[in-house]
Amino acid sequence: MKKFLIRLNYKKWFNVLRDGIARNNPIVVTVLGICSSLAVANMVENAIAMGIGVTLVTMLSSAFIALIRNLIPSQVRMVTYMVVISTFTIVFEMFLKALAPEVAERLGAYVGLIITNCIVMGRAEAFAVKNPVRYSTIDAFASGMGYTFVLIMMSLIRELLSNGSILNISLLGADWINWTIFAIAPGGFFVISLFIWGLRVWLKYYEE
Amino acid sequence: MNKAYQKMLVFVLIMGTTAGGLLVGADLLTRSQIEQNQINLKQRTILQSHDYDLSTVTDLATYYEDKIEVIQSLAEYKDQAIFIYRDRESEDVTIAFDKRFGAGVWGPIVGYLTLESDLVTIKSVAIISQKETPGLGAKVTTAVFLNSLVGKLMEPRLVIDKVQADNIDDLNYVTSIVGATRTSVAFQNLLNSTYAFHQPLLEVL
Amino acid sequence: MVSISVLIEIFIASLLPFNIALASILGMCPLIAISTNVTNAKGMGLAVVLVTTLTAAINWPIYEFLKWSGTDTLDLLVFMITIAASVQFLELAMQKFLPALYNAFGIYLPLITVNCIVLAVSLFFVNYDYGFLETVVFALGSSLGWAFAIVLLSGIREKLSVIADLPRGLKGKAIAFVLLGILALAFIGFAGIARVDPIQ
Repeated sequence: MKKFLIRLNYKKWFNVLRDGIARNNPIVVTVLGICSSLAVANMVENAIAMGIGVTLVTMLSSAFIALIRNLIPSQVRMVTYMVVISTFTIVFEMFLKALAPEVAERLGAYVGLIITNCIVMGRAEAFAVKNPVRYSTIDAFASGMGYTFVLIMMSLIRELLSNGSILNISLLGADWINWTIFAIAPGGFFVISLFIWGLRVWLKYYEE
Repeated sequence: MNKAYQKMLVFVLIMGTTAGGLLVGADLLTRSQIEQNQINLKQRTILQSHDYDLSTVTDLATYYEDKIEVIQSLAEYKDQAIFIYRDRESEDVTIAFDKRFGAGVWGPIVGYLTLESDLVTIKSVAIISQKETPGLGAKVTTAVFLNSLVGKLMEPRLVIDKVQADNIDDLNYVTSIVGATRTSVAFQNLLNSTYAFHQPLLEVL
Repeated sequence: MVSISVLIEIFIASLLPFNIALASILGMCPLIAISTNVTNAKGMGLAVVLVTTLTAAINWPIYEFLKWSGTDTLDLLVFMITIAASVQFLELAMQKFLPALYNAFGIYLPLITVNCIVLAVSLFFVNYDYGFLETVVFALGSSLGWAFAIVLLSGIREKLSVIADLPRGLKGKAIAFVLLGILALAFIGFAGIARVDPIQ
């Protein structure tokens, strides 16, 4: 078993996976992708939906861009990423609206947020355009998972304090007065700064 | 033009047309199903707004025909027809609010406002689609909030406001959603402008 | 025709109570990254104001055309393409005709393509159903509001890095978020002074 774990450390796919979640965690280390997430990560179910959405979209777009990476002229890189990402997402949304309208309605607000999420473009630019398909997909999965992890941690605190519940199951009893500030914008900022602080101390990654 | 520019132009053209083609193609494929879904949803929502139990209904379209009278007004607004849905038995009316009358914070809020036969008291409010902030503004769709609108008056105007609603007992005041002031105000303005527009048309009925 | 008072109200509303950075929490990525010193922040803010207002003015007639031809679903895609193209074109034009200005803030231009607020302003004018003048005023107000936020933040961060003894983990981005939170709280105080969708 030990030999297996040691050998795992030398596998490229494992390194890509581990780096994406820890060493290069999009939110904590490179602080990417916050744009759309701060407003949304106020309840755990929203964080899960957003995290899964970002992970799936990043995986698909990274895989596709890695596939065509040798054909993209360098001046139009950014435009290409945006067109690929938005076309995928919009087509997906259309089929969802036709086949599962209730799900589409619940996810409607997230679609625009996922398209403009910096992580999707960031992974495409930093990794997918220079690496083969399988590593790009793993990297995208890892970034998405790192992002989802931080989002869920944040929303746990925010939902607990501003609603007295987790996943809509009331935990703090009926006498709890909601700390609404944690549900709105300033609260999101305060909670994310605490997480960045905590994780950076843990990972010993400091910014001078 | 040198080779690099040519290659770039060709690439952009191919990419643009493929993406555009995919989008238009997907739109064509799914449009009729989406429209049918929307019609079903509309009929279900209006019937439920008038307190009809749909659990035993098999043919939605015929049931809808039976119970609801659809009146198309002679007036139009922003190039779209205006419909008023009146219950044949109780004379309660339903009017639709959508992006012609106002917007939510991040996108249009579409739904139906049902008034009792006195044309002033709210019987129910149903929201079909919205794009508000999940967990905050999106609470506008929760039963808790929508039920708080039942029995309120649209005259002189509906007010959705936390501070005032806590201190005033008048029946046109509703408590706003905590932490979602912008959506509450936007929704209030949407309902008021929809009502104001439809009021002369309803009087004539 | 739209009255001046409506335009002024939209301008003030998009600048203060509906500040696109501090109330709608958009454009965070470059806000955090470039607010380390005031000079950079001013350059970035200026560039964002220019690009946002220009692209909003271009996107409005394009959206009218899309509505007329019935292809609304393509709006997101088309907006993004015009934004990327405008930024590219602006960069080339500045390099050629205004080299002094290009040296001042030209390096920020490619970064603006990914700034969420440029696209967000276009999506907002679609949502609120603005006319042309209202769109321009709204874009100007929103981008000035964003520039306001980044300059404020960078001023505080610059001062803080000199006089404060921060814990190592808080230095850099973490403290920037705390400061943003306090600024956002302060801007909530502007609530109610103006509306983005004034009754006409």
